[in-house]
Parts: sequence; structure tokens; C-alpha cells
Amino acid sequence: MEDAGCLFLFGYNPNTSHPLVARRVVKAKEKGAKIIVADPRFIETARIADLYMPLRNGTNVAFLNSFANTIVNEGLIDEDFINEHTLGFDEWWQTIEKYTPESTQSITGIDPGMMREAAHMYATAEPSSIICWGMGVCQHRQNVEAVHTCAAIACVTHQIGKPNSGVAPVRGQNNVQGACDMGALPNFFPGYQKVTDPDVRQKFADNWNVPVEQLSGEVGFKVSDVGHLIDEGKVHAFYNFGEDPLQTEPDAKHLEEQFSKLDLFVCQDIFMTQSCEKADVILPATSWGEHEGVFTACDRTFQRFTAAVPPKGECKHDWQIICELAQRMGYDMHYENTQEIWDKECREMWSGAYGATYEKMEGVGHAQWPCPTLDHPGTPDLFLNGAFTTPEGKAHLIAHDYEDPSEMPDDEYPLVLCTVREVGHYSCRSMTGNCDQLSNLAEEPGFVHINPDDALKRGINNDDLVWVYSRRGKIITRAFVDDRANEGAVYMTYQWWVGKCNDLTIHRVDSRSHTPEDKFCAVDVELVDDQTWAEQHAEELYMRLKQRLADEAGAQYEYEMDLA
Amino acid sequence: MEKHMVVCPYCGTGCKFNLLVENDLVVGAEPLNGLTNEGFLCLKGWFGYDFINDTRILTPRILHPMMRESKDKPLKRVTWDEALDFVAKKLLEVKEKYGPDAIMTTGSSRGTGNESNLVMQRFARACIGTNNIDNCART
Amino acid sequence: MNRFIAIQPSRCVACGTCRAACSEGHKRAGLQKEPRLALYESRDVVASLTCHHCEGAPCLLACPVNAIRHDPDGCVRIDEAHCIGCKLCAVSCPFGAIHMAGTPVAGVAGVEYSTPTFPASLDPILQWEVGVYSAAVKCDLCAYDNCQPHCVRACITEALRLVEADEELSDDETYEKRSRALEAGLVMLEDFDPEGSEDNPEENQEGGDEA
Repeated sequence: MEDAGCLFLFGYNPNTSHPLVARRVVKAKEKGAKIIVADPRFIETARIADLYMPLRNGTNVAFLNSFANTIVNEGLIDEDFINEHTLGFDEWWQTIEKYTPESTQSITGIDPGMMREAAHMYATAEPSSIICWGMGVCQHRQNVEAVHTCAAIACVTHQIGKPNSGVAPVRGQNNVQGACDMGALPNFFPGYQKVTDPDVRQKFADNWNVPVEQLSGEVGFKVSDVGHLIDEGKVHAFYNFGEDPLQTEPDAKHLEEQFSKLDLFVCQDIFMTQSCEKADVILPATSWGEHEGVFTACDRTFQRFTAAVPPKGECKHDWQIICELAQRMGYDMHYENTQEIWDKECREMWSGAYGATYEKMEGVGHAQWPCPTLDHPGTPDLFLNGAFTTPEGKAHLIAHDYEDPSEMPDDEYPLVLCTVREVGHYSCRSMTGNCDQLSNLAEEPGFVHINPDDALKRGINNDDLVWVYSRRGKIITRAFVDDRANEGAVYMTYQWWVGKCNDLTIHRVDSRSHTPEDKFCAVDVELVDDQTWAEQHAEELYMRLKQRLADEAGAQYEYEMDLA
Repeated sequence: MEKHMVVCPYCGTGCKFNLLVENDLVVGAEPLNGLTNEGFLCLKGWFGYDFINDTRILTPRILHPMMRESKDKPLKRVTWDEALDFVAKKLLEVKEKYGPDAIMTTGSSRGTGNESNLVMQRFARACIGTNNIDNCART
Repeated sequence: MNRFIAIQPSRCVACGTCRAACSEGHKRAGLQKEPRLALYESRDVVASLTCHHCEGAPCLLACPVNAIRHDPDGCVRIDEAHCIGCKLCAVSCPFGAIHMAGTPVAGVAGVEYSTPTFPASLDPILQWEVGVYSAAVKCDLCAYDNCQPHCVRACITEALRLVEADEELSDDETYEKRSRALEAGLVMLEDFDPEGSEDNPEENQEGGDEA
């Protein structure tokens, strides 16, 4: 990344989600790379960017289409690469053709001249350019559409398939890449082998000692749909493993009601989370630091981690719990240790990971897949020389028309709420919230970032407590008057339990990947009249919540007292 | 003092560091020269370890299996056998009554590691017989 | 010349690791865990604000109980144990680098949770909490640990650096900085004459020292 000529950060704020990536961006800049930032908010990287493009919230697809249009119209495409390595250019162009920078200016708010400058900067950078995107692309209604266009832009300009180039979708959680690689997806076995392919099913059935009919060829449900599926009577049991959907999923209030209809709700977790509180059964697992295994970083690198301390209480390793449960359900599954799981279930079943042995990952060792043989060094760059992994070996160019987000702001709810990240906290905060230092730096009830003009209109000062409300709920949080936030939009981190923005967000998922539209819903913000009361109220809410969870967890100690 | 090599569980960058352990308590972190972090760590890597020691700043660790008799009853501590037998029985009942696709499972994209996801997807597919497994990649 | 922590704003990524490292270092030494450097973020600039360890430190003069001292190596330090929490140093600091910190009573002595009696938007110098004994805190260059400051060691982009007492800016650098400040109207150095200094920068610097 450091050696690229141009970095195009689209809807991605490395400074709060991945500080060590931000470090690379700074180093690239010092080595002379051009940096383009396209984000409605003036993010930290925008400060050092050569070009900052303030597109309006929720207009990603229109922006990218117009960016692609500019590249073609300015003659910045690599025709040889397109002819040899891609399919469907003419059809793609039919859609893209309509999105001239002039015609999209009213949607995206981007000046056509700036668009041209960006297109030149991106397409002509030496030696290469990288497009990075984050949840700013993914958590929108038109997310897959935007990703298709990003990839197409990289293809038509030949900024893919050579070192230090291509597309860099960044992952939020540490092992999202890993969970996907390992087949925790409704449509793929480990290594992205399709569940719909009978040959693949046969291979896995043989390895797992089950008749091939036992393995379903139907693509499964997605976890973001689980609430609706419960309502429709399609899902009756939910085995929730290491997640806190009642904190992290949108429209959390409604989801809680839906969970109460389940025949069985199992939570396997390390902390008493808000989801555990509602569970029928809680299975205590060992935490990071108490078990070993392999993580996959978002650049496809496998790295091993080890256990530092022994398991606490009666906690068991996740894989042990699952194996014991399978045995009780009449299916024999048994492993001695994580290395056996890795060798049997991953390396032997997925040719691309065969070379990633535990030995290779000793110490600071690592293996970047594809790594098919024992002496293979791993693969830092995918699609080298335009060798794409589609059946034809060519990239498919796909274009989509722009559509407005589901819930547009109106008179009643005039602001757009966009969920973002806090640099010192992670996911549902059950881990970082229990760390002294991290909770010291940022505590409840969290923050809502608001533009100074919007704040002024509402009489809000920095650090005032405010109500934020949408059609789905109302919460209290602290105002952060921030001239980097654009007018008409507010930004909240989704880590907070009192200032819980998922009580506000909309549960409308996109049709292709079923990712919730966390980045766009309509809200309003109002100053709480009595600030001192509000401070006390927020403290009290937080205290009660913590007390409730501690009481629930307290039941496990009562038993000990009985025994004594 | 013992040192144990780990990969940071807080984001996808994949920074490597040592956890420093004294008397089974994690007392510090020390960056390693890993592929991506090159001897540096951000604040979550440096100071994100003490939850392992069950600090109870936000919410306590769960140390024992717990269960409730019915939806309106409080959680109670049970033995592993009781908890696992109950879950197995209930899952089989649901599978019998509504079919395997009425059971939803999740993988975990957080601190559990790749191995637990491999085992979970095998459990969902081979033991339950459904592809209803997903992870939080979307949130 | 004094010692202090300098930041190169173009490198700062505002990750806050310095603040966490500062807090942890002081906490381990039994001092207040409040971070002693603040991150100032505006649209165009990010910079850490911390004590300048002024040569004629006004805080030192303001302290009624002599809890602030100037170490021979150039570090201005507050003795938290002797501080009476009068806030005079915080008021007198021209850079706002001193603030108050105390250990909250919530969680001890039957006080379940804190009951704030003021809005958080109140100026920190005016804030006070019932029952909390507070002390003034500021950057002490981690002198208690006899090591390089924790924030400098933790900075992931090497934007922070400890400027040592014997480290002198070259004459050209000094000249350039002074003229830029003068142009921007940030300082009024009557005896600083950019024209003259070009010919004889040394003389000018001496003049500056006397002033």
C-alpha cells in the first residue's frame, strides 16, 4: 500500500477503524503518493489529502457511476486490458453513459471539474492506484452496486492485477475475513466453495462421514434477516455464537420482541451481554487470551495466536462446546486440538490454504492465501496480469442505476444519521468496555457529531446532552460539535449502550447481500432543557443497565453459595 | 513474567504482540515486529487486554453455564451436562417439528478464531443439516 | 532552551494512543490517570496540546504552596501530593495545559454512582464534584519513570518527539519560524527585524534571548 502512486479512500476512515492502516497512508503520502478522499464527513485523512470530495450522504452509486463516466470520457481507460481481460464493457457503458459529472452534480454535490481532476489523478498515477472502501460503502441500501462499480473502475483503468494496485475492501472486525474464509456463510463451504455444487457437497460429505443427502444444497438464511424470519415462523431456534445482535443489529428494540418468540435462544459468549440477558441458555466460552487458533487479517493473511492464561471458571473452548453438543445430538465430531481442526477441516478441504501450516505461522510467521503448497510463499497480489477467477478468466463489468436511500430526511426528521466507529472501542464494547484505560478515554453515553451550524440552530453547545430521535426510538447522548461533520448529517458510534444508536436505525436490508442500511436514516436532535438533570439521568440509566446485567450474571454465584 | 504471542482481536489489520502474564493475570502488552504492524500498536492493542482479567467495569464474565426454566423465569446456574442436554434436546425437537432450516446459527468474526468457525459450520451443515450459518460481516 | 514534547501535525492520525499511553504510565506510577496531553482537532489541523515547560513558568509563580518546581533538566513538575487543588496554576497557564483531576467517589463508601451537579459543557476549571479531592495535573515528561515519555514511545506515526534542552534549531530554521509568525501577526517582536536578521541572524537571536 505504501508504494502505490494514488490512494482513493472511499467511505473509509482508517484513522478510527484501523489506526495502523492510517499509519501506512501517512507513509505513502510521505513517499509521494496522491491521496483522494471521498466522504461526506471531512475525515482525518481528508486533512492530508490532495483532493477532498464532499459527496452527499447516500449518493455512492451516483458518485461512482459519474466517476467511471469521467474516466471513459476523458480517455483514461486501458483498452487492451479491457479487451483481453474483461467482459461486458458495452453493456456496462450503456448504464454508465448517463451519469456525466454535470448530470450527477445535483445528486452528489460534486463539482464536475473536481470529478475530472480526481479521475486523472486516479487513472494516471504511477506506478499504480488503490481504491479502499469500508463500511461507508457496505452499509447502504445500494452496497453491492457500489462495490461492483468500484471493481469495474479498477478494471477499466487497469489499476488491478499488478503489485500495489487494485481494490481494498477493509473489514471491521478482526476476523470477518476469517469467518467468511472458513465457511461461516450461508452460501459457501470453507474456501468459498459453493454449497450449490453437488461435487463440493460430495467432497465434504465424505470428509464428515455423512450421507451426501444430509448436506443441504439450498443457500441458507442470513443473520441480518433473523428478526423477520422469526416473525414469518421460518426460524424457531437461534444458536448465537460470540455476537451481540441486540447491540449491533439495527432497530434493536423490535428485534428484542422478535427474539422472545423463539422456541430456543442459545448464546455462547464470554460476557453477560444484552443478548445473553434474553437467552434461554448461556454457554460460557473461553475468551481471546485463553485459547489459541488462527485469525485471518483483512489482507487474507493467516496468523496464529496463542493462549496466555488458563480458562476461567467452567469455561470451555468454543470448538469443545460445539463438539460435545454434536455428540449429544448423535453426530460424532471429535478433535484433540485446534491444529487438528485446522489441518482436517481447512487445509485438507481447501487447496488454497493447504500450504498454510501451523509451523509456517510460528512466531511472527504468516501465510497469505492462496497458498496451495507447503513451500508456497503466499500471494500478496490477486489477479496478477489480469488472471481473474471467474470461469472465463475475465472480469465481469457490472453497472447499476442510482436509487435514493430508503428513508429520506423530511421536515419532521431533517437530519441524516450515519453510524461510525470510536477509535478506542470495538463492536458491542463487551470487551473494550471492560478495559480500564479504554473506558477511561471514552465513556457513556457516547457522542453524536453534529455540524456547528446545525448545533447553533438547536442551541446546542459542545458536550451538552441531547435527545436524538427517529421514527423507531429516542435516546440520550452527548453532542460533539464538530466542524468536520457536514451540515444536515449527524454521526454516532454504535458502541454505546445508553446512547444506543441502533434503537434509531432502520431495519431495511439490501436485496443482494442483506447488509443493513446502517449508514442512512432520518433523525432529529434536540437539546435537553435541564442539563444537570440530564447528566444524572444518563448516569442512572447506565448504572441500572450495568446492575441488571450484573444481577443476571450473579445467579451463577448463588449456586456456589448454596454448595458452600 | 511470561510472554505469549497473540494477534490483536480488535480489527482486521492483524497486528502481532506479546501478552505479558504474571500469576495468570495479563499485565501488559508488547508489540512484535509483525507483517502489518512493524513493531507498533494502537491504543486498543496496547491497552485492550485487561478484560481478560474480568474487571467488571461494564459487565461480568460468564463463568458457568446458565439456563432458565421458561421465558419468564430468571437465569440459573446449571451444570454443563444439564445445559448441553437441554440444547441438544430442544434443537432436535425443532428440527423434527419444523425441519433443519428452522434453526439459525452464527459463526463469530471476533475473538474465537478460524477453528471454531470451521467446527461451527460443520455442526450446522453435517449435524443439523442446514446452511443457516452466517457471521456479522454485515454489521 | 527548554525540553518539551513537539508534534508534527502532518503526521498525526488522531488515534489517541498517546493519551492512553500517558494515562497508563501515570496510573502505574500511582499518579492521577488523567491523560496530560489533549488532542486539538479542527477541520484543518490536529495537534496535541501539552505543557511547554516554560522557562519563566507562570504556574510556578502562582502556586501558593510551592507544589510546582522547575527541575534542573528543564522539566516543570507538579507534586500531586502537595497540591491543594486551588486551580491558580490552571488559571495562570497561558496554554491551558493544566487541568484538574481527582478520583471519583462513585463505587466506594456506599455511593453507587456519581450524581453530577453541573453540565459537562461547563468549563473544566469551574467543575467540581462533591467529595472529590482533586489535584492539578500536567505533562511531566514522564520524569517519574526516568524514561522517554510514554506518549512518544507509543506514537504509531512517530509524529511526537521529545525536544531536548541541548537541541538547538539552526539559525535558518529559527529565522524562518519567526518571520512566518510575524507575517501571520501571531507575535509582536519589536526587536525582531526580518530584514536585518538575514544578514546577521546570530545577533538577532542574542537580542531575542535578552528580551
